[in-house]
Amino acid sequence: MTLLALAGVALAQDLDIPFEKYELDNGLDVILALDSSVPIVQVNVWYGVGSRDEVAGRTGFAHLFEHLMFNGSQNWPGEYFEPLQEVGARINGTTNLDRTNYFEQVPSEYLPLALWLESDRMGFLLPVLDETKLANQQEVVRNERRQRYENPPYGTSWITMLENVFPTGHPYGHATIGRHEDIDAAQLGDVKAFFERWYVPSNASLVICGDFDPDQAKALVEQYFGDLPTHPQPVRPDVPTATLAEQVVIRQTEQGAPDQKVWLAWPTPALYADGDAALDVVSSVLTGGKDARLDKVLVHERQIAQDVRASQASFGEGSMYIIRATAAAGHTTDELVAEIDRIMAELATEGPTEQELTDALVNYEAGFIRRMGAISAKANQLNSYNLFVGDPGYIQQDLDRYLDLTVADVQTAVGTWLPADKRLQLHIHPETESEVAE
Amino acid sequence: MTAPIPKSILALILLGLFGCAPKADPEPSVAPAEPIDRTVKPAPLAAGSFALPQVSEGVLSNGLRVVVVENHELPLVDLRLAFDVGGWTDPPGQEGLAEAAMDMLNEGAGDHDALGLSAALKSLASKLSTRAGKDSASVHADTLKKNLAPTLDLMATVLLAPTFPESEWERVQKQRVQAITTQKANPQNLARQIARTLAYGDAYLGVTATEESVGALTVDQLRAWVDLWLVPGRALLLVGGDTTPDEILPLLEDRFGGWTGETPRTAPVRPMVQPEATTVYLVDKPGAAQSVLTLQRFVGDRTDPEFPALSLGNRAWGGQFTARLNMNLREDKGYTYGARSSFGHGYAPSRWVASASVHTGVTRAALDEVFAELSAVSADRPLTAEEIEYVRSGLIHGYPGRFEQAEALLREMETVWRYRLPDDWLSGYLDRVAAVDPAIAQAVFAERVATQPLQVLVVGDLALVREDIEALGHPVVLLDTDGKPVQE
Repeated sequence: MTLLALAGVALAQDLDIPFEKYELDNGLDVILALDSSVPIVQVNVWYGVGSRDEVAGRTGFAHLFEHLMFNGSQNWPGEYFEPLQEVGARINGTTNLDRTNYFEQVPSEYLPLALWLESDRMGFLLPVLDETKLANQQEVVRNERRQRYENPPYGTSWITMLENVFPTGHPYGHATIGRHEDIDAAQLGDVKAFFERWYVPSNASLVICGDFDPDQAKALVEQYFGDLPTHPQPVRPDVPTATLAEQVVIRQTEQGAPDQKVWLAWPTPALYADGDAALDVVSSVLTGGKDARLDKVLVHERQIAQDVRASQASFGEGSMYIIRATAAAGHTTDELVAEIDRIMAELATEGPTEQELTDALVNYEAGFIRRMGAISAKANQLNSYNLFVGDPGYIQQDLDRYLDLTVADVQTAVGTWLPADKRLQLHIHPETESEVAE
Repeated sequence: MTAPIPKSILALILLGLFGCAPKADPEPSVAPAEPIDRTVKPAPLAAGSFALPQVSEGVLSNGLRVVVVENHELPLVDLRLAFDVGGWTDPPGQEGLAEAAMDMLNEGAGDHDALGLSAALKSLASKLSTRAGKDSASVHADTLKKNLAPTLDLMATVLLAPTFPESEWERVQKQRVQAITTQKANPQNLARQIARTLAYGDAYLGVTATEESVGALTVDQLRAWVDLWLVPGRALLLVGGDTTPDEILPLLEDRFGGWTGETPRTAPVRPMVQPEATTVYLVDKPGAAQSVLTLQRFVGDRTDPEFPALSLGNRAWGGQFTARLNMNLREDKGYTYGARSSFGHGYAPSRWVASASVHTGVTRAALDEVFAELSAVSADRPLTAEEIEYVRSGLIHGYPGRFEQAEALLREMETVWRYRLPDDWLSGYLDRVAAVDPAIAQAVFAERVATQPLQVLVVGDLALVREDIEALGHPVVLLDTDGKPVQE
């Protein structure tokens, strides 16, 4: 248990989000973090279930289930939003490959309301769930897929990358949004089984962050969550380490796509694993500003790219590194790949300069500070650390992962994890080349 | 049904927002762990107190106004030099001028070339952006407190000593031309711009940068725009974060106090195309998975005394998740991921806009539902007092949360300044919301929106949806992706 002083002192050297963590008898983790700047409080719950836990033929289910959590529970069978919007709350839920989260940010005096609603859907969702609600949210989610992935140009690139960087059937081998036919196939029985397996207190972590009285909050948490039944913590499916044996090249055309774009993607180490932070620094060296290596050569000097962006998409059990670039008018994605390969080879051979490393690190440090301004960001950060490393107080160690890096670590990460001959190349071009602006 | 308004917020209404409310004593703890009755929605605790952050004002020797909101929670300082200009100043044929000119400020300034500026900022972990939109232009810096002085140096350099290198402009120009084409390929972006063209005609938000207009701009034009408009008399410097007026004002005086320039006295035009009959505009996106629906008309100025009532009426009809529109289209029918209505404010009268992306196969059915929801307001289902009280409660209770980041107040102040809103715009907000009569909210929403002709825009796969839409019986106009009527 950690109990630190109330916030209010300007940040010195060490990063710290003061919190108190304890566990209820039924296994629910509870994390309390005070921030009294404004009389509001956020209730933020993470469940240790995401799209990686889905079974064959039911892709998209974890996210569909998240939607159903907003359609009422036994003691509030109506819309979840209704009593919360009445008190000016910010409300939402998100699902990704690793976890599902829910939050409501309310005026502090409505903390009991938020805890009542969250505990009711944790304990008593199923009695009021029916075919009508399921059928409705199946349509809503399929429209979410259309709106976010199908209607915008290149929107399916994320789906294609996951399906090809990870092997078929791998827990990360499909996107969280799922496939239409799988979303459509979900049955009420699936919902019941999923809830009973995953939505148990021992698989959840509750953060209360903001302006509240800790003793009062503890009493309320015990009242609303303490009597939810105890179930063993569910065992999650193994996530095997993914590798690509060779380069996979996919060339697609897309109706209405305006530019030639390319994505290079590699399977890389998990969030917080050795190599993860070094790959973030690689991204800074490659595209962290106009003077970064890829930006400088592709966009500024040779002017063959409209834009270029490198990033490590970190997941809990294995990540994906992505370099995305758009060809400048009159140039091709093959030219971009050739130039990117040359620059990556140089970085693998010579490593970054001391200046590049220092610049990256001071910017990571500033980024940590910038992220600590909002209550919602703090709440999510505490829950993320709790879920992935079991310690909500991991922030300084997290930053130290970066500050401890050397030039050699970054160089090694490029050579080890980003080989040109073992990756995905995904090119998406306009349907007819005449559509490319000249 | 409506949540009580906390005493602290009522007090705030009475005191005015800039008053400093006293901090309440902490509430005593409740007795722990007695069993609760889950069937009963819990009552609220005693409310805490809230006061808007204090605002300090200063003026530099050249007349530049500075406002400061202190927030010492984190060692960060945010500075935004806002200009009372924007793309609305672009002369015909030079659309995109303001955006390009602002963009070029950090492509070379003082002794730094574009890459040198980027490197200097990176070594400080500072961010500096120079941007324009239609209504605004700004130089925005975000820095660690310890790097405040060198970041201010760079901010002053890009403002006062931009070099506009010809070679950088050639590159930026090509990028900006290509980006225009790219933007139009996204159906939601396309719908947003064409809706503006329909609403504002050939002025203000109705016109947009084109490949031709940006392709014809010259460095001399960019430089002339900056020299003309970026003057202290049309600027406001908003500072938030870990600093004080005593600290920041001398630092600003050193760098910006000598900056001068004649202040041009031009104001934007206020164009408006009001539909005389409901008209449907169609834009073809072959293969689109969804149709992007937009319905709109102008509804009056936001300073109109009836606007708060209209605003509450709209909120109940379509302005939030639990409003009628979304409850019908999403939570009942499943036609869309979300449907909302809101107001576009700017220099022109305010524009009411309802929008949703709906599955191609239900395009007509979704339009029918939107029209039915509008008709119901003046027929069998007027907006009830309960619905209006419900949204009023949300607005009032949600008010403190809008200022969780102290700097949010600066953005509100910039809006008041830019659009010359009344002095009590912020301090009177809760009063205005509290004063709305629910019957008036219903009446005004019916009168100004629900019973009026609308412009209806559908961006989607016309081969699949056109026939059903034409069967609605409204005039139909086919547009190209620039919003121009197509001759068939």
